[in-house]
Amino acid sequence: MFVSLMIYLLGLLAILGGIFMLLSKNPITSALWFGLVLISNAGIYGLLNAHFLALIQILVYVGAIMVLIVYVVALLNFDDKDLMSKISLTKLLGLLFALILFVETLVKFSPFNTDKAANVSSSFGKSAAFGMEIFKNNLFGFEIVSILLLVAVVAGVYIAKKD
Amino acid sequence: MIPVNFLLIIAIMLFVLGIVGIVVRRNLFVILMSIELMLNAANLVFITFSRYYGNANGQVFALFIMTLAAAEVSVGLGIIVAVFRTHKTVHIDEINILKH
Repeated sequence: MFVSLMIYLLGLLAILGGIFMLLSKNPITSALWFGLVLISNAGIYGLLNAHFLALIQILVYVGAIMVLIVYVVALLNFDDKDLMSKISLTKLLGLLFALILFVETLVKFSPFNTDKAANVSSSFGKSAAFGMEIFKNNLFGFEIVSILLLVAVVAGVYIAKKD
Repeated sequence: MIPVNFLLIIAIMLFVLGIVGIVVRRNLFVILMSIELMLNAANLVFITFSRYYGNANGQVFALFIMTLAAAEVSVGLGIIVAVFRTHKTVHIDEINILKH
């Protein structure tokens, strides 16, 4: 009971953060609302027995990605005249298709039986079990992802360097 | 008891909010954050079903998506810095050099 109550609360908090992220004018405020979404998502992961991933979400997303975005925004010092000012046909079409996607998924949504959720052992999602899952069944994907990270490091340095 | 349906609807809403952000906002940083929002929605679905079926494979893929997001942000921010250096703006309508 407590778990589902907290999940409802954190889910609504995530939606709230997402909406204010789009509405706020200043990119730094936007990034902080984005941080709210990430933190509430981390809470949901923790309540869904993904303890290790909840930690990683805080470390990687909030501690690295969000802070990096804030840092670069502060570094660049641009004028933020942005906003949704100009209404164009492309934008309206995009909004229309986003709305259609939302309504369609809701209409076609067939509810799952929540009582059928599997019973998991207490070690489910903790780092030991999680590590076994990675290194036993998903080793190839893990190696591919590590190569992807290496490529991203090289690309990031190359793109951002001065000529 | 896990409120699977509620979590799926939350994930759909986050994904649609990401699309709306990409369409409506004109700031490169906010567009980058909207993409991250969509990746987060996908992660939420992975972890929800991982719990629902008691299969840890979904969590592993969520971790892979997080790695992908980190890589994407590092490259994306590099591109934004490079664009700002040449155009002196992060407003996406003013970066239209390919149009002319």
